[in-house]
Amino acid sequence: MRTALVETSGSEPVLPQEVPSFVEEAYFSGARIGDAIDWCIRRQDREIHCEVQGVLTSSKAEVRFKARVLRFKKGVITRRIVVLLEEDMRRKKTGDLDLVLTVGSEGAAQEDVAASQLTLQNYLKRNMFDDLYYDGRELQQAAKDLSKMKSKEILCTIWGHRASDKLPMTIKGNLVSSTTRAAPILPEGFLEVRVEPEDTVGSPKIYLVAQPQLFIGPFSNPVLTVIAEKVYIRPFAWKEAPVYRDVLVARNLTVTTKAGKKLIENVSFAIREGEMLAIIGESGAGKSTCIKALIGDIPSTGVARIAGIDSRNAQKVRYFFGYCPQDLSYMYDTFTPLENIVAFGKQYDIPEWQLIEEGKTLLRDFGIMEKGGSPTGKLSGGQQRRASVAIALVHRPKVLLMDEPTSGLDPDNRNELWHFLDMVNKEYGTSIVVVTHYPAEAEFCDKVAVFLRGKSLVAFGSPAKLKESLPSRGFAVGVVLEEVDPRARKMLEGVQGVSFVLQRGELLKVFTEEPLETIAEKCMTTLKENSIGVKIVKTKALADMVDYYIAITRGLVTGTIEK
Amino acid sequence: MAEAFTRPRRRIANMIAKELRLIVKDRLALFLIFMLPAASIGVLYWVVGMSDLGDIQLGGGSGQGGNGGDSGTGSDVVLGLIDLDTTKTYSGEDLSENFTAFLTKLVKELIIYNNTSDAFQDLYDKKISGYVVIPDGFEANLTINEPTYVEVHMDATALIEQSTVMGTVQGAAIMFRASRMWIRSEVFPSMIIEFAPKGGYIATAFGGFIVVFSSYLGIAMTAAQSIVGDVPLRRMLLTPTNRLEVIVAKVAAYVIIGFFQSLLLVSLWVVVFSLNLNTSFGVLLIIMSLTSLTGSTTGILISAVASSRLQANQMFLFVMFGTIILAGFFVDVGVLDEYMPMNQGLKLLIDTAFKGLSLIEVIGPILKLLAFSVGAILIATFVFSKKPTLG
Repeated sequence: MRTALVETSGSEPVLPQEVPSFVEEAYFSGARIGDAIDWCIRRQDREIHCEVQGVLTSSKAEVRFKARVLRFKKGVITRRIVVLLEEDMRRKKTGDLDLVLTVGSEGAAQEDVAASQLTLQNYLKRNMFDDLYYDGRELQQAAKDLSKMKSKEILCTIWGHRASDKLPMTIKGNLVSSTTRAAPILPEGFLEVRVEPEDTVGSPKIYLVAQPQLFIGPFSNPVLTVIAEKVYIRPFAWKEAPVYRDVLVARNLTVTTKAGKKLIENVSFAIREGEMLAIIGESGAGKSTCIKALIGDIPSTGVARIAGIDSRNAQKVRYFFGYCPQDLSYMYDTFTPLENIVAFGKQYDIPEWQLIEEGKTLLRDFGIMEKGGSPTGKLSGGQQRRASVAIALVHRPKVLLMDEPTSGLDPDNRNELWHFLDMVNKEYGTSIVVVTHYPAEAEFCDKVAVFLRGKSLVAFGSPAKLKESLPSRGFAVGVVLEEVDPRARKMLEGVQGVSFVLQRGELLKVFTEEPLETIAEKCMTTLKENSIGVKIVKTKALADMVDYYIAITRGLVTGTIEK
Repeated sequence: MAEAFTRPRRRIANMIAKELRLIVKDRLALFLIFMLPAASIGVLYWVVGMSDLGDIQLGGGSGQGGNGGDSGTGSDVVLGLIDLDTTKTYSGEDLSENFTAFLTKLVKELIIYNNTSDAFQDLYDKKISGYVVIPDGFEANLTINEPTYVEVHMDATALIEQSTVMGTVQGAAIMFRASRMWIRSEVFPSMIIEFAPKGGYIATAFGGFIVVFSSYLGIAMTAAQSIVGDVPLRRMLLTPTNRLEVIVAKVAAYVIIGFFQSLLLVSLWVVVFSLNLNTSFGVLLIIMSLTSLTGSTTGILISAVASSRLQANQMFLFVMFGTIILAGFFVDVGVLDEYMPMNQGLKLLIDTAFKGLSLIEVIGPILKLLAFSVGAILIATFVFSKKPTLG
């Protein structure tokens, strides 16, 4: 989440971490719904949420709700935004609202809600939702689209009225079949939906869903025929994650070998959706073990959850994370990137046509579309890494776990890869967990977890917060020597008031709890007395993650774990 | 509930498609799987053209004898004998009975039959290792110094016993002639191979062996690398695919490969040597696919147990040596013959293609092969499930 990018929308104070990561907000009155639709059209591949205030046309009750925009239509006569309800902010007053609502302009009688105020929020990420909305009159198109998804589990919710007595009704169930058939006047679409009994008494019924405008022949039972008004379709409904607060949670996570040796002990941290986490630490500190325990690959005790699902429920949790191994040989090198995407993606029960579509989008976004036809083994290292990330993302996981993606890369390529990961994080809204050996890379992330050998997790928090735990809240006296002198560090550590000194070549950072100016003067005097040439002295040099990492591994500071 | 079956089924189908695509894209693998076994049929074709043994005709009565053969005592051999000689031209004892007496000395038991059909049935039931027919005119020919012959009927499917039987009969003929020094003409044992389709001896016997060998060990060799050599599989295991699905998919993929390999081999075997097998082509393919199934499961089991490609290679080599040694071609392996998968494959081929039995009549070996396959899949899954995905 990028709290820095947030524009606050309301008068109520909100905690920064609770604000979603949208970056654009626009306000429209109900009369200007056409402008609102234009605003949405310009961002149609993005995820758009809204807050609507208005009047429910059926009961004239005032409503206010938060929702996600499903579709929008601006015709000569029709101006409509279709939304999926997320939160009914006046639930107690108006009773339950439909899950899917059509929003029209102020005074519109043909829509569910006549809006008086609209607040649109554009999330800076791709619209990653699979769900579809059709008007009842578009049932033929719905049937055509659904025929591509045959034999998959597809959840349908249909609002309409029963053919026998015109009674309004809503049915929700799994799609059995979809057909387009020549009707007496025009071709029309039909859906068959199997609805389970609500109270588990009785047997499931199969309803025929028909288009409203055309004559229904005597072939269907009118009691089991629904004339559709609104159709909401969610393919692969079983993939739905339960409600969760943190996308990745480890609580008292402990991994013990059969011999009784504890590889990691009582590891506790959590990240929110959209955050990036860097796991840094020494070799053998348990970074990879932690990742393996988090994805349920090795037995562990404590809590490990991804998207609210216990990692021990391996079959289910695997839909919610993507794993990108360090080794690029974890792809079929004779397959093209797209073939690899399809081969792995199919195991998530995603139909091939959808995988090809998604795969092409990913390859285009990742800049390797033109390499789509070459065997993966013939791509460069960077391109292979991108292909590997594309494979891990094709099923739209909530969390992307990457094991040392930058090891073996030169600084230029490392930098490029991090920009790429940043793009993935922003564009797809995917939380990313990166195991890395380079503490400097942790600066790119929202959160950092530091592991030490024999101590497991010793520090967790945002890079800024961690650095603040250094003396003087992470500020130090920076000294650049004329040339590297191994004596300098020892000498400066002997200066009264100096907590510790970190040296990287000619650069020395002197950490202290004393006033920095005073310590700077003392340091200069000491160096001059020992004839060590100084090029630059900075009284307020900011510590970076490398400094923090060196300090914590040498035991110079105590780690803090952010709750 | 249905989804509990359809989803794994779809995942398995996807994995099979992926495996096949991988093999199709790997030209060297294709070469190894199809061209090498086909080349071995070609080599056999060349050998048949070069070797004298290749001329031995099976299933007829005009075989030839005297091609080597050891002179072992044959004390364990049970033979049958039909004495059709009615001539009485020698003044002394009956010569055919005298020959029979020498034969009795060299065998464990000599069963006398009145007609050839009873002896043939006992040979089929493996009660005897062969039977000798002394033709009418045996004594008459010998007394006028004309060469004569005795027919030695042997089981085409009992390759080890053939030389023993032949040696025994030749031994009896030598002893018989040595005891009657006045006989100047020869007694030729004429070898007649029973239960063999029409065609050359080597082409039939060794061709059949190559077909079964390729279907079983060839597929096992390829499958032995399928898990341990499939590095991206580790990543695949982080998808909802479980270990059993992986094993089943791999086995199925290699059975499909084995089917096409068998199709090629059986076609080459039959067409190149103009064989007229005693069963249909379809039955032959079913049997070869079954053998491929056991080969595939054997290979997958090796691959699941092995931790590296080197280990898999070593394990396969020892499995291969063991299988060949215990195949029953070289030594009598006793009760193991009833359980070794390749032996059962050979038995199926012999009983159908050579002896003309239907699939129902050979249900025993079929069930054994299926049981072996299921057992191997379960063990492989168990072993595989104990291994961590990411090492």
